[in-house]
Amino acid sequence: MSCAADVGNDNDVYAPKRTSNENILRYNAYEEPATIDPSLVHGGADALIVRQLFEGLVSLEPITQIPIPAVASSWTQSEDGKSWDFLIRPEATWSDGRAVSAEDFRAGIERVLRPSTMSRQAPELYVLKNAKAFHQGKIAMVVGKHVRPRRPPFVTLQEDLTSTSTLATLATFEKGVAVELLDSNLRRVAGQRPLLLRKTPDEKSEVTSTLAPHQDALIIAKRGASKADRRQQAWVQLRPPDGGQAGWTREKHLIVVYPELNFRRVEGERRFSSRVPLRVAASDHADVAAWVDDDQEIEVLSKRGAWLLAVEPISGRSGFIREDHVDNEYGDRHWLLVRTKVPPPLGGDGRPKNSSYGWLPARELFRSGDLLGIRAEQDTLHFELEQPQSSFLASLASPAFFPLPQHVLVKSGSRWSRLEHLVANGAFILERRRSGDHLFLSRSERYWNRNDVHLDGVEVLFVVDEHTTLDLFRTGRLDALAPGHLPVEALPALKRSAAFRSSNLFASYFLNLNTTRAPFDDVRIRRAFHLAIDRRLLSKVLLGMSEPATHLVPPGAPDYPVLEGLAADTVQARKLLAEAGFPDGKKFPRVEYLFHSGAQHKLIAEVLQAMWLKELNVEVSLVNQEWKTYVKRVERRQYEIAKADFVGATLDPALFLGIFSSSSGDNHTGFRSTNYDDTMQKAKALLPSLERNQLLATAEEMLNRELPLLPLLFFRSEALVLPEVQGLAQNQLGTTYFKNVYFDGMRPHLPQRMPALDLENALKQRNQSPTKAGISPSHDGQEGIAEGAAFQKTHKEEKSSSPSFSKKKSSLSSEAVQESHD
Amino acid sequence: MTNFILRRLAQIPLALFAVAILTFFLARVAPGGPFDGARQLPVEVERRLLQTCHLDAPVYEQFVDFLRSWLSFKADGCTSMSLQMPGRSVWEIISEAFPLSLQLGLYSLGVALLLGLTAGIVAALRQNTWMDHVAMSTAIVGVSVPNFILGPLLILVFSLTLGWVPPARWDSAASWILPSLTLGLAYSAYISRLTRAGLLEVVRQDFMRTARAKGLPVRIILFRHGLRAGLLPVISYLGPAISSLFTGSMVVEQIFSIPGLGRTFVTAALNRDYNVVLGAILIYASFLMVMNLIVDVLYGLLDPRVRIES
Repeated sequence: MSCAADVGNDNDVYAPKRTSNENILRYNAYEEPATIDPSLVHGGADALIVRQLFEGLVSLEPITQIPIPAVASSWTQSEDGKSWDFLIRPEATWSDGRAVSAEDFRAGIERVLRPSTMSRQAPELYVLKNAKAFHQGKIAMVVGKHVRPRRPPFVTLQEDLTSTSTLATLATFEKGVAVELLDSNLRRVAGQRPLLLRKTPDEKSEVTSTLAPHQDALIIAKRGASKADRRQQAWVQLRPPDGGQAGWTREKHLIVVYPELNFRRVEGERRFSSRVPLRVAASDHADVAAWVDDDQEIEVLSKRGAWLLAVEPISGRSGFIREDHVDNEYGDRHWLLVRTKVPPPLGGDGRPKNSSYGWLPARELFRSGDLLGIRAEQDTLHFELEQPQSSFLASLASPAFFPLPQHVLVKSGSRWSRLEHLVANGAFILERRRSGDHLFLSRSERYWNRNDVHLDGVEVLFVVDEHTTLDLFRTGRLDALAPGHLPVEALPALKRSAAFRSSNLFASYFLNLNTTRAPFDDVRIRRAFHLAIDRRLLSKVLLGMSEPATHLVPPGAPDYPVLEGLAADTVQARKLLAEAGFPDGKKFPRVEYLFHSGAQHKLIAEVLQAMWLKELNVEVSLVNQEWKTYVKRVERRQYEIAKADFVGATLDPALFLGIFSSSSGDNHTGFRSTNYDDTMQKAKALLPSLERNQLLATAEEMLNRELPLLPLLFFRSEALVLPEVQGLAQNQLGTTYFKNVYFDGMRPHLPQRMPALDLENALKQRNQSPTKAGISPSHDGQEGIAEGAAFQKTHKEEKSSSPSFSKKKSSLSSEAVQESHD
Repeated sequence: MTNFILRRLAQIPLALFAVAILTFFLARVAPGGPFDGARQLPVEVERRLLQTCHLDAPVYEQFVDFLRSWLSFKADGCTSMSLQMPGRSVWEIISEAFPLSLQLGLYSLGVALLLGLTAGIVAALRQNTWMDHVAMSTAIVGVSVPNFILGPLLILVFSLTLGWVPPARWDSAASWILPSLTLGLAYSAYISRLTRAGLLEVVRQDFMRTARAKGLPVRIILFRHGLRAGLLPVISYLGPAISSLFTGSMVVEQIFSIPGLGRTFVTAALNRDYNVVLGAILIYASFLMVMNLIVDVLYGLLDPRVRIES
């Protein structure tokens, strides 16, 4: 069979004629989004659709992933890189015609961070000032016993100090010092009861007073100290939000925040009943999520000394508890304590236990502008970062930073993202959907850059089955498939098709080893298993879907070296196994290789099983589990060897290496190394630089030596796309935008000007690489390489090139990024 | 008769309740929960997600909550909404999926009855001729070939090779043909065998001989006397068959990418979307019970011998 002969000819069954000549792209996404609410996005399927419907401050150029202006027309950044100002484009509008405001962005970001939203994306926003503390609910309110500020300010921890282990049990002072109680302004509180001081053998005094039940925090300092001294030496006692023992910390760890809200304190008891459906939002002590039915009479009470609680009248029927609070037409919220008529049982800490009523601590309720590093002023959005971060600009293109139409949220509540209410600001609008089958996106006539959107619409299908998808593609009913879902057994035929496209993915496939128990607690055995794998053969069996990998971090990270791990060496492998006490694999315990259903996972497992048997004479039993069972078993470390993979969200090696820090929730190998943790800690505190990359490289070398994981493969992203479909870029991070796509000969808006000169270098580079990019001029005067006939014939060249990565090749896209960035 | 029906109808809610309880526990016995995934969620988010609906409480406490919400007929967010798709209710999900499965089931039933009865009657009337042999060997093949083989085969022939019909999806009359055939053929094979066996048994009965002796035309003997008794096994088979046809077949819906109840159910089970699982099972169970009731009633109407004495 000749390989190349039938490319593009009529026998190419996998590049059929389109059955439709409409200017509509029919794309199979395989997986259906669970939600199209940008705040709730979780996973690629959600993000794919949300990216078409909404647009952030910047968007990413399809191939190079360089941030280009989107809703923000321009931006400035301060010297220290900590504060950023974005100017919102005046012509940007929502699909109902209203202008997109800076406030829409601010509110969207705040919503993601609000604990009650339960957004999985919140950690992406931790780069913003105070965002982490806010999201984790580490905000306490200062209520001293005699302190009655009109507006109780919040005190929030600068660092993650609220767990009992980091809070000191006692506040210590020099010998014989008298202390006084301070309010949140660090002013002396008159008429206080003296605190009890206790002397210790080492000539110090300790404060033994503890928080009264109604107090959330207490501040003390040396009596008569100057204001500056107070700031330096005051102690604060906090009640951690997780309900643990209260503890002391230094005042300088705290940020005091003065909310604008009008808290109303109710003395004694007041009652009123409501016929309005009331919702009590989940508090961040989520043990008190509450739900009040439409017709239920409720009592609203205040609790002495507590500044608690929101009751929100919400119009219409009450929905799911996940709904968050939005300022609504009822105006000011009532800051009150609510409970239903049935008195709740109280837990040991005096907090209610049951969920049929709820107490909400006020600490969750404040306007974030005062606290969070984000502020909206007319048409400018201002960010304040915890520390400078170079990937910040690119991260603005992720759904966590998208704007939300406040006017719609107020009206429709959590139902705002349903078809009938949805208002968006992206290149496409949602026209119809049929769950489990498809949704139809049509060109938005209100998108600010509509002239550069070439398609009339996109029909996104959710055909799950890989083979069914191929059938639809073959019969001309699909124009493009999302990458990464081609059936292994069909690959030899598919690779000959003109529609086949392949590109690198910033993703790694590896095996976790359980280092906490025998036999893999012995590094010699881990190494023996590593050395016994012939990765070239493995990659060949997988028909070139992947490149062999001897280390964790995929090539492609800017300025990061490729650190080859140990190459296959079966002699050495047997020797190590013998040294560890198992000469010729004798008496080697039974080990289990855990993976989950999926054709290629099974194939990989079987190949490895055979290799280890042949080279080490070791029997590995394969355990194929359904997805969730697999997840749980890996989490509980009930395995010896377990399949794992990771796809980078940005081109940062730290994402991969961070998995194996001992504090990482994704480190299921039991690998713990203080040396490794320190290195990672240091690296993460740095801006991307040579120094940082060196630290990361040291960390990766540690992994190469210690091998808590066996690197196997770097996956490629492969898809079928009809040859006449242009502009559907495949990039290393797997983000897809339909707004750049057009069909050959159906592009209504022709190039207006030639690309900027500084792109030439980048293009030269690109042309040397296996993936060639054509140029099409950019539209709005910003730099950007619109992708042309990029990936069409590249697979042929790829096959003939060496399967291993060279450093030069792999760092290409990063160089391109840097150059055009300047 | 009315009594019988009423009694049976009264049993249905009880049985459904038992099914619900069983489903509740079985779903939670499976490892993993609705919010588990490849990457660890932020701790606070996970805790909140679980606590919102008490999924972190011991199973017996969850059960008490569940009973309370059921017995008071008050659905709250935690029992009526999908745990996987924010903002979508179980009712909404099922009411979108179920009609498709019903439609597919109806067409498949048509296929099954049309082909099955015809083949069965022909085979019985022409017993031991070539027609009988052809019909019955086809039926054996039909029963033995699983639909995950039959489906792709039909696609290969009628869609990829001949290009007559679309290979998948449920959006036009032409696209209904292959899934209905795939799902219906196995049932038609079964029905044809049951019909043939039933008829052959009946043909030897005295009342048939009497009818023939009376000089009735063959047509009337066959349809009025023969089929009425001969079809009883088919009828009793149809009860469970219809409920399994109408409530969706996971395999066929997967192959042809039809967003019906079968696929919804399996996806929900894999995602540990407890509420949707429960909803789908209750639909299936009530369908099964109602169908069985109808079959029992029909039985009585068709066969005087089994008419209920009460």
